[in-house]
Amino acid sequence: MTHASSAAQTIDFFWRLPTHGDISTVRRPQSTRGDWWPLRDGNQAPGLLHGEPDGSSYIDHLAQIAKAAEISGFQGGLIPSFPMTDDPWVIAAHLARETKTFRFMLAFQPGFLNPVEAARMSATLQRVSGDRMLFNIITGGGGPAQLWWGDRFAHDDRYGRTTEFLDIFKGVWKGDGPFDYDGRFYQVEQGRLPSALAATGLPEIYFSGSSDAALGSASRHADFYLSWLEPFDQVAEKFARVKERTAELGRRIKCAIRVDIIARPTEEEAWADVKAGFESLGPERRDAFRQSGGDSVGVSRQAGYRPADAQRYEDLIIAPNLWAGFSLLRGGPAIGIVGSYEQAAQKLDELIALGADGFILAGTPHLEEAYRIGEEVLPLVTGKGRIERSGLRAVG
Amino acid sequence: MSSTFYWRLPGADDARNRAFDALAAGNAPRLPAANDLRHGRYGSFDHVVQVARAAELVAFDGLVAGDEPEGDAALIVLGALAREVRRLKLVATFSPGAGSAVYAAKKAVSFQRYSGNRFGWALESSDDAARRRRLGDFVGSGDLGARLEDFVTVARGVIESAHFSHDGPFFSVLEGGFQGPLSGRPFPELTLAGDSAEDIARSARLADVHAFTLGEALSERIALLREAASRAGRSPQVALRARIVSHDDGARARLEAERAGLAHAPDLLAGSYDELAARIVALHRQGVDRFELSSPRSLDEVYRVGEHLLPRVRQLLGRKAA
Ligand SMILES: Cc1cc2nc3c(=O)[nH]c(=O)nc-3n(C[C@H](O)[C@H](O)[C@H](O)COP(=O)(O)O)c2cc1C
Repeated sequence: MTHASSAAQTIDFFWRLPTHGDISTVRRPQSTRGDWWPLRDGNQAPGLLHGEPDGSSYIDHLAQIAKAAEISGFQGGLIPSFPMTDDPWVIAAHLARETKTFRFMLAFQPGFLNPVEAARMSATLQRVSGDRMLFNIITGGGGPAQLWWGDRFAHDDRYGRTTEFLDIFKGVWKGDGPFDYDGRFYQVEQGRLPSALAATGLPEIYFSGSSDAALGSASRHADFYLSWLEPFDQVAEKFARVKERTAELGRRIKCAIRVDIIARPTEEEAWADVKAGFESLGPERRDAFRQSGGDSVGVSRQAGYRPADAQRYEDLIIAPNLWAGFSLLRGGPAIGIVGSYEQAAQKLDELIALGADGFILAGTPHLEEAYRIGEEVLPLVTGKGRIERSGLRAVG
Repeated sequence: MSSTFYWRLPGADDARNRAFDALAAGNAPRLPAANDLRHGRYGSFDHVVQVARAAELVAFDGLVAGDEPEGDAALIVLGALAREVRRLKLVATFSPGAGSAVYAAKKAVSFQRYSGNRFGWALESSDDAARRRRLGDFVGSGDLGARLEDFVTVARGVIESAHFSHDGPFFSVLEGGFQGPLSGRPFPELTLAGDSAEDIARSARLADVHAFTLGEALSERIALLREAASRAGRSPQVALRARIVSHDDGARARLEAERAGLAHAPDLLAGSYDELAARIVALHRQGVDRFELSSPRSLDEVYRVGEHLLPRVRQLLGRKAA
């Protein structure tokens, strides 16, 4: 695979493309970019100029972010997929030709495409982008959102389906000949990708999910196990567990963390921005972030911090430079990193020492922060913990 | 209604595409004397983009990406083209067996948002059951029509309403429907095809465009569609699929078609610009609204049609109208 990390001691850094709009400053989450919010003074909605269509659209904003990320030292970006977002396959295809090195990490729930068709779409994307696509395999959080998608399967069944999907996806792509499979969820008879498509690189697989069923599927198929940030002892325990499960199958797996960062020249400035953002939230907005019933183990691990109930931002500081209120400032997981550039880099190094081989970072707003994190934080990440752990010496 | 012209993008059976794919796979370039820098850098898609751009520059109305099991996935091909081709309609061919209807609808909405509502669907499943099973699709031949209708019902439901529930034989959804900026986008223009009575009846009810392939009894087929549609109170457009080889010298066009192995193909339009212009005008008068053309020499033919044939067609139709 041409784009996979080659040197064993390097860390894979990804950014994130915001697929349902962005916020222009963490200090004031009401100020937005994208047509998900009403257009008023201070809000930007690409596509409208003085209220009239101007020929551009939200994809033009995403193109800006992808280019900022690739020029700032990120390999690529995660493209999330939820009911209210634009579609990752469409986004990746649209941006393939106007980026150079950016790798498109598509969040994808295997139940939504037939695996043979998914293989063909992926291989086409590899062909138009020069092998720059990869997956974040997700298996859905259950509840009303799952039914919204038209998917009625229960939690552990969905993981069974994910496993079968990946068996076939790989089987028709890299198998020795026509591929047969008779599973509970999927069947295929004499399936095979055409040779011009099969000649492209099999997409790398990042895999998300915290439950036991998730680990079973990840250990069999994932290249990277991906987790939201949790308290560091829990991260260490989680990574150890997934590595053990994978080793039992005679495979190896790497680990990665998806985390937001607020990094500023000084720690005071970083916390001042957190405080401003927190205090600008009205009660209605906080209510919007309360959990609605699903079956995701990973989500309930994050929800334990009950950020919507906090009175002061300080109540959500769970460890030095770790704040559990990010879900209030934008939808998503609760815990993120807050601090000076040095502190942020040090946190990443600590996570590397705990077993992280990759990161998907994000900051608000995604465009300017891609430059900032790339310029100020990434150069301070030493990767030393990882190098020592693997017994290799840094050269030069 | 005036006639429109769509170009079908070259696919896996296109000779030039195959040659560029060989290049992409890292095969040694076949230029023995040249310092050839293409190695591994280009593939058939670079050629496809040029054909698409050409079609836009010579005033076609749209592009169709096909769904060949040996070829690329149409949705991805069109997504990757969409930002280089700014005016043409983009029609993606795929099977309702490819995945969930809600998921497909979501992609359509993002396409509409990014392309200024230029996106269309051509829904088709192979009628060869063994071929479908190779693609992981085990629905029986007798159920394909019902699945297509279920697919369209769900996709249309979630695109056109914000609270949509449906429990069908193939697809179901509970409290679905797109909200916010994903709502209010037009359902992709829907092309269906087929010659059977059921196909025609279905198009009369559901399709925006029904595609026939050039061949026998075209007038009768068009008449059946028009009848069924008028009973349903609808008027889908009629598209005609044909392969074209044109030249200012008709004999040369026929020679080229013969070299491409098409001499006796029933869907072939081969001839001089004048002959073909007359033919197209005649087909238009027979009821064809849209011509969906392809050619074994895609790039050259796009230019020949755009530069020589379409102006003659316009002139003939204009003269008639005047
Ligand atoms: C890093 C990460 C990214 C995720 N991205 C998405 C996403 O884009 N869309 C989505 O519906 N769910 C996403 N999820 C949630 C998963 O779909 C789902 O909640 C999780 O896999 C449930 O499994 P669990 O019960 O094993 O934790 C993500 C989860 C993680 C950890």
